[in-house]
Amino acid sequence: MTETIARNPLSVALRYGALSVLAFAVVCPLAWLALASLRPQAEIFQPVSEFGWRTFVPSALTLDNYRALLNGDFPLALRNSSIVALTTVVFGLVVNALAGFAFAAFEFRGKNFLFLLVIVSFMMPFEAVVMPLYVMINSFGWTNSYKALIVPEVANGMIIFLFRQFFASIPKDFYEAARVDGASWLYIWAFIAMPLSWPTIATSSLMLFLSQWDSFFWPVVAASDPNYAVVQVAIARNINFEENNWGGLFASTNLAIIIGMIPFLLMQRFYVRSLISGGIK
Amino acid sequence: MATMSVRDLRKSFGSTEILKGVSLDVADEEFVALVGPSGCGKSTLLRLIAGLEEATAGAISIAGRPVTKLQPKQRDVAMVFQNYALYPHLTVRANMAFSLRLRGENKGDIDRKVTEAAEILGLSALLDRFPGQLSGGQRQRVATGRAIVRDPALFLFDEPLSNLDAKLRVQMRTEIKALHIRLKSTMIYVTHDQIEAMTMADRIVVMQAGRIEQAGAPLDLYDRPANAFVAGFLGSPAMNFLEGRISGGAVIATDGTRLPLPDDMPAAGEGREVLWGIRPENIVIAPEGLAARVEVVEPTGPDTQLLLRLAGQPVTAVFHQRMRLRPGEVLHVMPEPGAINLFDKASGARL
Repeated sequence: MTETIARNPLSVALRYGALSVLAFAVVCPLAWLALASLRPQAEIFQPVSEFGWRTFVPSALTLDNYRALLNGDFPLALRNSSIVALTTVVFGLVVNALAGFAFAAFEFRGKNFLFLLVIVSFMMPFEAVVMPLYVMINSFGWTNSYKALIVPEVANGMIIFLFRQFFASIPKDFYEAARVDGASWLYIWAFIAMPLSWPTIATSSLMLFLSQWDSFFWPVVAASDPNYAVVQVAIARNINFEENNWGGLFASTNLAIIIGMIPFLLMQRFYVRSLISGGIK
Repeated sequence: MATMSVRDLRKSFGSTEILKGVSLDVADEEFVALVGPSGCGKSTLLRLIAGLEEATAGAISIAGRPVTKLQPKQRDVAMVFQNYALYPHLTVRANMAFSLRLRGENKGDIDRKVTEAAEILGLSALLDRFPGQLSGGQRQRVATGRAIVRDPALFLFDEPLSNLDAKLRVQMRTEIKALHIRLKSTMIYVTHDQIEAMTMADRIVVMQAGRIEQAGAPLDLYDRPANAFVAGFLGSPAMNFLEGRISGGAVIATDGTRLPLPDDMPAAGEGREVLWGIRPENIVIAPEGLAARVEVVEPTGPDTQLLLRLAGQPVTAVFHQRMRLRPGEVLHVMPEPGAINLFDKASGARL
């Protein structure tokens, strides 16, 4: 591949030209967002109407928007989202990996049907189950609590599926050798299957974290109390009937993106590896 | 160390019966090889003994203790797998210590046993490596080491050498046999390689289609196979079978050639359809013998292997000498006295 491309400078130019345009299209709004959050409130939309180099280079940089955020409810929202997302990751990994292991290692009646249900569960739009879910959570008396935000998100069909695929790719010999050596199934899961599945654990953690970090609809429905507002809800609160706090909106969005990226940067190595390898020999 | 016995063991997967009633006794300190073609049920039998599969019917006992319904860990067996099943995230030392840790033995005992096993197997320098850094032969040794640290009642080997190249396989064969002599342990060894079975085992159990065809000492089976299947399975190149009919004190082959009967063969059985069997190395050159046309000449160094056409049928012969022959030449050959095997054509049973 690379050799044929290297032979033709024109195709290289075209290729990188096209990629640059795409990259610009992707990065441009983000860059604008980042810059807008650093502008004085009054100046945010001014350069847009008179498009020019001022659109990208602000006349003055200010941290006022961020200062205002930190003095408001936003730190609470960050805390709520972090608690919810991290707890979901911890419990989600255990629950989904155990479920995936059961599907991969055991033969039991109704296994295929159950697995079908798991797959259907992540194909169904969340909007379709939100009302029944709310009725259920409400009847438990869980509304406006961390439980309401965490528990429904712990079991995740997609992640059960990922773990099942990975565990099924581990040679059965490993499990059998351990059984002959006297290991229980739980021991085999914890000390043989899980240590081999770092890439899947990394991918799954990230997916669980981001799904909670980005969640908006369910928190609005299940925890409307401002004390339980999560990041996306707090961001949306900048825009309401009385006022549009654009500076606050951009600054909080920017923070949400940056903090949401941290887990990805930490796990990038594993994440990329799992996408490439997909299995072990 | 211990005895092992299975009684009328059956195993079905769905409607397919893999084991159709197998009974076998293994004596203390015995090395038994289970051989047979793919799908004969030898691995399934081993897995049933290990407890990795549940028997459909029948009974298994180890050291006189019934274990049919017990979990693998309660059976006191160690198993070496074809793919070694070494945990890639653990060092050689941790792999070998795995079962001892599970049993909750103290660290000193574990270290002593692992070091001892590593010495026996020549793994002392490799204890801190990971399986991925080992060669095939070393991995095989670690897998064996993981079994011997446990000091189990029974060792089970499931085709442990089939992933090695031919040269290494011969070397490991000798090592496992030496290990058996040293440990004085009871071992059951599954292989599809009849040479492995012949060279290593005290006793060979030949299986086919879920049944035991014959069990006995390697050379007894080789010399006096109970039926045509066992005769054809043991030995390489395989025994030659010529179809014919007993008539007038000889076997008349399909093209009318008169093949001699074994010396001890009673005159009875006139008109019976038979298979006339002769091993390749039991064919000798004799001027007064049967005419055989040479079709292929294969020199192996010490031996010369010939594909002959004898009585209209292909026959392999091995001579322990170098021979200058060309395809198309005609040799005169005859079977060594006492080396002829006769089998019933329909049932395959020895006559």
